[in-house]
Amino acid sequence: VAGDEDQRERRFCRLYEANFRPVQAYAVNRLARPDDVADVVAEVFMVAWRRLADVPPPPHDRFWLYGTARRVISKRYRSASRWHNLLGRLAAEQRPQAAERAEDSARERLLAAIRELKPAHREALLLVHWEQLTYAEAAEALGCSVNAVGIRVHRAKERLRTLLGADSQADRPVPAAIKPNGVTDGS
Amino acid sequence: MDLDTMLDEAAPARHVRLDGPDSPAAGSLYRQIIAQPPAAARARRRYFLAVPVMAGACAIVALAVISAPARHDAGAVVVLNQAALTAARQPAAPVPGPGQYVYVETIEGQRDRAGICVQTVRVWTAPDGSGREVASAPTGAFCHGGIPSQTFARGQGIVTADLPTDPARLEPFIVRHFEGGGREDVAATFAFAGTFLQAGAPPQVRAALYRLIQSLPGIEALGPMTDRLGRHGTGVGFTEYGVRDVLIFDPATSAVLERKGIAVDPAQIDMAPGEARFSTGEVINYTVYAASGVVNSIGEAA
Repeated sequence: VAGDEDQRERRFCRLYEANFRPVQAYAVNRLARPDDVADVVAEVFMVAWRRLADVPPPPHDRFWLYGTARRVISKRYRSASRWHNLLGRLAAEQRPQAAERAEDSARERLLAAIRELKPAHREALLLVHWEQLTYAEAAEALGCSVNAVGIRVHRAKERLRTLLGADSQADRPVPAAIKPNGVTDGS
Repeated sequence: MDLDTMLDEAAPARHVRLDGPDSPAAGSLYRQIIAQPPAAARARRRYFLAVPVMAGACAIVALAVISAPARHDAGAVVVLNQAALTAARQPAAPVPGPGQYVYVETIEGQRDRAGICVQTVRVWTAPDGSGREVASAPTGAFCHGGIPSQTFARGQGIVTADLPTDPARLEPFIVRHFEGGGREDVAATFAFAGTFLQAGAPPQVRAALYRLIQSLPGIEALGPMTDRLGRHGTGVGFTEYGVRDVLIFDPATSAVLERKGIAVDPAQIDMAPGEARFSTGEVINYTVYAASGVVNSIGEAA
């Protein structure tokens, strides 16, 4: 039994060391308050520790952790009777920081546009661009098909281009390297 | 700069310094986690963040196990069917015109380390979804964080008049817009449906919300109950992961009075390191719906 426990802890240690920073980045990318970030990181790894048998091996463990983080964040405030989604909160809190530098105005506009996206589209887009996942990896994190990720990202970018106007080079095609196959329908 | 590059560079994590796994904070967290006993081996365990938390070091991690399949309770079906009929018969709620706001006042309680932290939260929402939320400072000596006051932009608030009136469309609408489009989550749907009941929703929307709650698996009738303001009502509940979510409403008007979470099986609720375990029957969070109406300005109460 002691040997099993050692093996379990060694596995968790490897998981923790390899993924602490990515999970922290995921939380920072979605929450503005440092306290919230710390709580989410702690909760995600607590889940991983308790469900270690369910955590897939590398590199899939990271996508599993992202999926866990998404659920942790979405459920944290479920009874708080909020009238707007978490990204709205993120926006309000990020605004003063972003305004500190003039060059942040374009980024601020983009963040504001991202907040307007449908949550499912937004999450797919952020996994691809902020967590730098491939469509297949994002599909694993979201528990959906690769096609669905492609559709959501495509829809998200279309919407962003509309919201941002012509200065976003709206007609720029999706790079072939990340373009999903068979994208024909919405999600 | 093209959109892809802009997106990549906009990531907030690129603009802050992240702790490494060898940092003191990461090391401390690691030691706290592995001090927790490993979960007992069981087939098909599911875990869930069952208890919302106050931000900060007093975080409560509530991970628990589904123990039994959910079933429909005949009493709950009857009670909620009547609530839907009553809701549909109510006069239409006042509709805010230009420059007006839907005002909702709630009293929010959250169990913290040393007791329940309480905040009064007032929300003004314009017809376009913009508005303002003002939360009082949390009471309690050890309260930490809590609900912030904030302004929200057009489209970010919930305009209940825009909700579908067909229960079959209402659930996917709620899941898509408020639960991140993820997999089915009965507890969250139950909580959101209860929340939307209060916000001056049109009678047909309120009826649809009760129908939606009625359709959720595992909803139970809890009989007559009294809320924290002494108002009498009828309770329905949903138990998952050791926590029973309760919704109390007035059967005469269908108005929702209070929502609360009660620890019914504390052994199923895993706590964060250093947190005292809940006792059976302990109220761990609540929302009392104190007032609502249409007002002419932010700052005005109904």
